[in-house]
Amino acid sequence: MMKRMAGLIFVLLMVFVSACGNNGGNNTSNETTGNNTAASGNNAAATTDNAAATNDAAAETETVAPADPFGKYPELVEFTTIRPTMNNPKFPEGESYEDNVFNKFMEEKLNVKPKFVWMAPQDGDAYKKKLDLSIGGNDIPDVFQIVGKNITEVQATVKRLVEADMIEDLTSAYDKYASPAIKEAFASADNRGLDLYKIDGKLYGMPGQSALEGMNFVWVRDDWRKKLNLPEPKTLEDVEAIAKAFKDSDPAGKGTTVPLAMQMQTETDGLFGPGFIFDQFDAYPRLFYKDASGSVVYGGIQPQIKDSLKVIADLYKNGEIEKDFALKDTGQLQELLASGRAGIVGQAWWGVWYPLFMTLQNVPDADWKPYAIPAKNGKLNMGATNTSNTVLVVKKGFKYPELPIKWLNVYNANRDTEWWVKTSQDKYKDANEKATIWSGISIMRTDDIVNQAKDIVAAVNGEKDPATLPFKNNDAFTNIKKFIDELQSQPQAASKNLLQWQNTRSWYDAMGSAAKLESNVVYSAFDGTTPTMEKKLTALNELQMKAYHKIIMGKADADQEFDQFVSDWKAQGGDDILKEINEALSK
Amino acid sequence: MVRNTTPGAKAAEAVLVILLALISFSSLFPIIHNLAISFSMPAKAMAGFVTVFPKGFTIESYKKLYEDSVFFSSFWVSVKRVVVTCAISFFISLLMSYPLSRSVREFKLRNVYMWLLVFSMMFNGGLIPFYLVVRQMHLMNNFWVLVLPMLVNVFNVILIVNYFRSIPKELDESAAMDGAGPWYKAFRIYMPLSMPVLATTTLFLIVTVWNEFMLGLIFINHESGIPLQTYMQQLVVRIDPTLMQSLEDVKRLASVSDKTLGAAKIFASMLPIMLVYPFLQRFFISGIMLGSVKE
Repeated sequence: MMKRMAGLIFVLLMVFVSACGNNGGNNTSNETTGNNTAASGNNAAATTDNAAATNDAAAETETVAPADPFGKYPELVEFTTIRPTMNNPKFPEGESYEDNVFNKFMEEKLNVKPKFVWMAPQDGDAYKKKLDLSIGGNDIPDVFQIVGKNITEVQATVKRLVEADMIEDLTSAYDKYASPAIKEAFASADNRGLDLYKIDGKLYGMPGQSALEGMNFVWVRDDWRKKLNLPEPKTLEDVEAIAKAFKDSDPAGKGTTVPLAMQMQTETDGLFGPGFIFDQFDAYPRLFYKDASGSVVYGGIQPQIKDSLKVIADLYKNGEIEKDFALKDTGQLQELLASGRAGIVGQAWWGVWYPLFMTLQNVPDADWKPYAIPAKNGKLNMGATNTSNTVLVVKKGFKYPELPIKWLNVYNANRDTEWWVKTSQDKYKDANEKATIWSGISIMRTDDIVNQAKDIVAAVNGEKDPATLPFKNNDAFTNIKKFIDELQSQPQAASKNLLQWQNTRSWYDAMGSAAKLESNVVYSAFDGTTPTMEKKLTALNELQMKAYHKIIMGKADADQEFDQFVSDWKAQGGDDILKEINEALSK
Repeated sequence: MVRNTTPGAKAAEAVLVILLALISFSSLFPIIHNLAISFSMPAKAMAGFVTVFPKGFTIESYKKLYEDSVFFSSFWVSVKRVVVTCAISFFISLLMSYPLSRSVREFKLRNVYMWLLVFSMMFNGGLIPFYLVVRQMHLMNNFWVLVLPMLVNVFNVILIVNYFRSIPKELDESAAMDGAGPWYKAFRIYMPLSMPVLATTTLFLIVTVWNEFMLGLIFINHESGIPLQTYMQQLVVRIDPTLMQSLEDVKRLASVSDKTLGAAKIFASMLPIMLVYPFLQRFFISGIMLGSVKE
């Protein structure tokens, strides 16, 4: 429904834009446009064609410049902006955030030049605090990036700016100037990213979009598994068996082994959480999603949750999960993982890059390996919220509202080229933040990472010519090839060849195996905030955590406790939230 | 000194000693722990193996710290700021305190001024008006924005005023008889006699100014101008791994989450205060006025 509406709006906008574009032209052109608009009621597609035709005609008479997404400005355009920075970057001699090869590249391509009014570190709150002050003092630059802890925070800032009439409507600029690649990338997620920053149907910002890479993997201490002669896990039962074996044999010694390291303090399925168990049951504890009937439901109160919790409760009863798991925060889990006492942990595909590699520095024999465990339906289940927590906006009255869009076109088209990879790896090697010296927001297709992994795996296995790999994947390929062909059979292969091992475990083992499975992505149906959510969601989330903890720790009868929780959740505001979401979506 | 030697008193003394030992240990332990971490291997520190002694001793983090140019530039900004602020503030506080320590008979509006000061101690305009004022005065990105807002510390002024009032009136009167005016009295009689309280307030101010980071965070836009604690604050803020969205982010996190380097920086930033403290503490001697007046 939404999609169709968006499509319709899109077509109407096209007509509107081309009509407007021609108003500045001569009288005859005006008349033809009028006719076209009149015809639009009959056949939208035909109108678009006609509109395009009039556009061409207009271009010939030179009244309207054709919209070229990569077009260079005739004169140098300087614009003010701000940027989040990294701590203590080390630039090559003579270069800085303002003056560097990337900005020169942009100047060459588009004839534009950013002037940084101020910069502040992106870690911590500095950037956001300063930005809030700039907005409060009505002192905003021409183009700027809004960041936040989550979408709601960013959306609130955008809304504030729109209400104060401080930022420009980008709807037509986007339609005219966004490159096909960017439009396609947003379309791969049904334009969810754009919808987040539309107010009354108008687009007010260019959001980023990352690929879907949040699948949950089961990371296992493979050295322990091999020592105990256990098969590689293929189902949840296998994982449970491994946990039990770790419990019984205590490979860390002195009874310090934690068979399944898990954190569940405030997030039901956050980092190091039991997300992979929920996935097995098609359960998404913090997601508002559409069920088979098409109405929005809350994942946390579905009956599948109860089944998942029972599995976790069993693990807890057997002592395979720490007694105080409910009190541990992310920092404590990192400590536990680094110390080498943990046997299994649920984490994302990049787990080896942080923090699992630390285990190897303390225990040279250790080896972590990720496993993608398909659910009963044979697919890899995955709940996905929209993670775009940054957006680029334009100050009201700025002469070139399409400038940031063109910037992002060029940025995204060149980000992975040989030129970029080489520059950032050679010249900018020490700038410890390679990727971010070049201002920009990446907009990726949702299946980007999976496709990259597929190609890398195929190349390593000799099914694909490595020369056809995109340049940015060459490093990963060489490292993986080396690890698989030569290194992996050597003793302490992982800790002695950290980089090769990290590339292999993340790209080849984790994403590679996920790419082989069919995935079932359950999108969140609603990423915004409703009034009741603002007031009650925190309390409801606490209620949820308490109930889950109780069930896992076996302090109450699982069925009874869960039913009680469901009715409490609904009564204490949950029902209102669902109603509000369904209303908001049917608009 | 007469010592009370009854068993009860001895027991009380033992309890006091243990209590004080515990309190000083609880203040010292974080510093020692931090020092141990700064000399340890990163992986050992992350795994929580380090308590009092370094594990896998290395001075790697201090080597890295030495290469960190921003650390030293901001260190210098902080030192400059503390010296300038304290010098000016010393003078201003004295000039404020002397009139305020007079009686209402001598200085009619004394109470009005006092209330205004106390009012400003409890209420302020809020961040955004403050920001607007600073911008209007063209103090953005200026070293003085780090200094000016810190100059008048009402709490310190009140301390000094009260100390002035405790100085015997007779001294004031005899100086007046010898022909001393208010300037002479303030700087030649009151200032030297008030060294203990002035040392205390200066010490307070040094610590406050040294630790203050908000002004640098909000009003300074280039890295070379921020004070040390603003720089440190950015390092110590915990980076939340759950916000990591891509492999790039994760690699970045792995490179910055250097617990040992952070510990080294914290220790280095504590040093100046640790060095200054014992010297100023010397001034906490009462009894300077003993013998000046016989009543």
